[in-house]
Amino acid sequence: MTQFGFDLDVERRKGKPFARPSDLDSERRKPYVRLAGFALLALAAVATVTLYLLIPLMVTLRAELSNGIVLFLVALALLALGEGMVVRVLIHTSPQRAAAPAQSRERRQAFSGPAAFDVELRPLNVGIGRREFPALGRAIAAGPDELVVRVGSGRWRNYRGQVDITAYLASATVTARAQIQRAEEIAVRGRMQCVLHLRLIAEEREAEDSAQRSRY
Amino acid sequence: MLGTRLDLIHSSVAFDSFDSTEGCVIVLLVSGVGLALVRLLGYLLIALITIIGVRMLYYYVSYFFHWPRYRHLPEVTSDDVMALFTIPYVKIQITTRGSPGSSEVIERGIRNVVALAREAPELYCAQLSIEIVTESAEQERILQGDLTRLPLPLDAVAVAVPPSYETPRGTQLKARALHYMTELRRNGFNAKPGKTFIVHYDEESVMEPGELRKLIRYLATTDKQIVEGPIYYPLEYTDTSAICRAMEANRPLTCFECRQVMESGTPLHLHGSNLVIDEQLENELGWDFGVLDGQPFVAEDYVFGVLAYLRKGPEVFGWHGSVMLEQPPFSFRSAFRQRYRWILGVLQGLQMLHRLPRYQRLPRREQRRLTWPVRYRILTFALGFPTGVLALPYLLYQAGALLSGQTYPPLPLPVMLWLVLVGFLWFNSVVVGVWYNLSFAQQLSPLDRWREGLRTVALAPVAGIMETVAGFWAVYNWLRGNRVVNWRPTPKTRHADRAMHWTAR
Repeated sequence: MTQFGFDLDVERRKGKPFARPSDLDSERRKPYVRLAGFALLALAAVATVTLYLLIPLMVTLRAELSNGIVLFLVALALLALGEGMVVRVLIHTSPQRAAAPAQSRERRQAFSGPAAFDVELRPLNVGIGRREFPALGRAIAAGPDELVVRVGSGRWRNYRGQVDITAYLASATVTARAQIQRAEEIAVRGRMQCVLHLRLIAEEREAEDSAQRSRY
Repeated sequence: MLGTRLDLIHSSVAFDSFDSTEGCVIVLLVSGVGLALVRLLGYLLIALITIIGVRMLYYYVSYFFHWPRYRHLPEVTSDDVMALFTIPYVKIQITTRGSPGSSEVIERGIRNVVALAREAPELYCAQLSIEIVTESAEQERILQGDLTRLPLPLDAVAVAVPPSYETPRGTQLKARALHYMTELRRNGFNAKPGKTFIVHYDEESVMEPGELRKLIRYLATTDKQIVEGPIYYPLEYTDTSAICRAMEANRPLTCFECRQVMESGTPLHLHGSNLVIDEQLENELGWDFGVLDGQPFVAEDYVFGVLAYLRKGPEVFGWHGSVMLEQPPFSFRSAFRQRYRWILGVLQGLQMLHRLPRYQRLPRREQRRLTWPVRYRILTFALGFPTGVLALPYLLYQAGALLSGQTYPPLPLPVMLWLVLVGFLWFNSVVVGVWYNLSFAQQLSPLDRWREGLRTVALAPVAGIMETVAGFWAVYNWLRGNRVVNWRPTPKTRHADRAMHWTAR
């Protein structure tokens, strides 16, 4: 696929997979021209914000706050608060946060299937890196306190310790501790994977937690 | 008499020389009429802002309270995909008219699929294929030649729709090409065992490998048959006009509403790209809608969604949350045509819906649930134009009142607060859109992103008016009975955009 430049490695070396020459035009401009342009844009943006948000808010609050500076500061603070709420959601839904661990019940719930469910496993042994043990898997219940979990790596084969398990069910997220009872290695499409048989020991964990609480 | 003394009104000197009550009466009369007009416009503005504001609230309920359902952010690796119990077969279908410049952007989308396949060829080459359906035999020949030179054993094929091809019901435009592929599949074309999904791309659509992995994982675990995800517009960003970039910033927030309607199962809105359909269902339903009063359908995606709802119910709809990237139109004229086409297409779909026996058999309440929200969406789109125009003098008046030291609010406090809230929501719809668009614009430096963000904010009022003028014009023409449609795909390169305008003139 060379005719149309399908060599991704070459494009990746530039660090800009979709870059085109025209994208870089602005980089060739002189710094003070760019600075002046930036300042003008900033002024125009501030003017828009002032006209559409700040002034209406100040006019609304004017009857309550007569002091001009206080009025300005209160309006600005309210706007900043609102913007903070908007930006908070933006940060949580943007790719910069892609590597963050999933904590939200609802987030996982949206992507759960009807029978099997997602689980996240964390080995308890100190010194075992997360990257060595791919943590995401799919699980099905094999009994009242038993789970069968399939994980995308054969590295769990020799691990026999306890794990903390977060199960993303349709109705709730459940965190529990489990003991790996046995691990089977299977080959799927040429790659080794593991099927882990786990027994939940949630009660013990709860007991530990309550003991810890009593110590404090 | 009025006409003879009007000159007095415009001369401040003349006011001093009033020696009769006649001039005062004229001044009072004109002032009264003016005030009544301003008051009327004020009421109108409040009504318009309220109509739009209620819809904004609907967006923001989804934005603030259900955002965790919007995107699947944790990275899904190929190992995670491997760990799935079953992996469905995924056919990526790129439908194009074969317009000038489209080959270039199609190849950009393919590059990203190839990038994914390279990560684990034994996994993805067995589970993925690319099908390009074009109306141009020349493009099919060129693309087929390129596809045979792919660096991986990935199934990829270009198919040309024969010029003589006709669907049984005479469907035209894009739906004709879509139905051609459906008929091929019904006859066994590229048949695969097991569950198979078709991911619909537009010419310029791109899905990055990370998002494709998330999509595959979702498809492996869902029981939904028609699912969608958000679309952002960072591609070719700096090549497009500034006003078009600002216009595109209005769009990503609507994806939050899109999630809401897809998960609730009422297809008030369905976009044709980033649309994933179970192959079995697509084969069953097809795209052969026919025509409406001799005019072809231009919003085939919306029509498909409505028909799927009528035949399969709300349970088939879902939201996959994987992002697709597209590009803004290159010029305002292209953007105007695009918006005009959307609104006209949805109005066509609504009219078709009313004629369907299956729809007429629905309970009244369900009929209203299917149509009134769509009408309301169109209304808010069209009313954005007069609202934007009327809001500017009101805002300038407020600025004048503040600077002149006026201490009493021009309207009751709750009304003022409501207007401020709607203004805040409108403004932030632009902020949200530009944030998402720029967060995927890898070609821009951080400083360039800031600059683009500021530019978009500065242009937001103008862009808002220009965006909605197309909707206003479409509704106006529809009400006048001018319902002629024209499918001219939005040009995908700057060169093609210029050429199209040149020929249009």
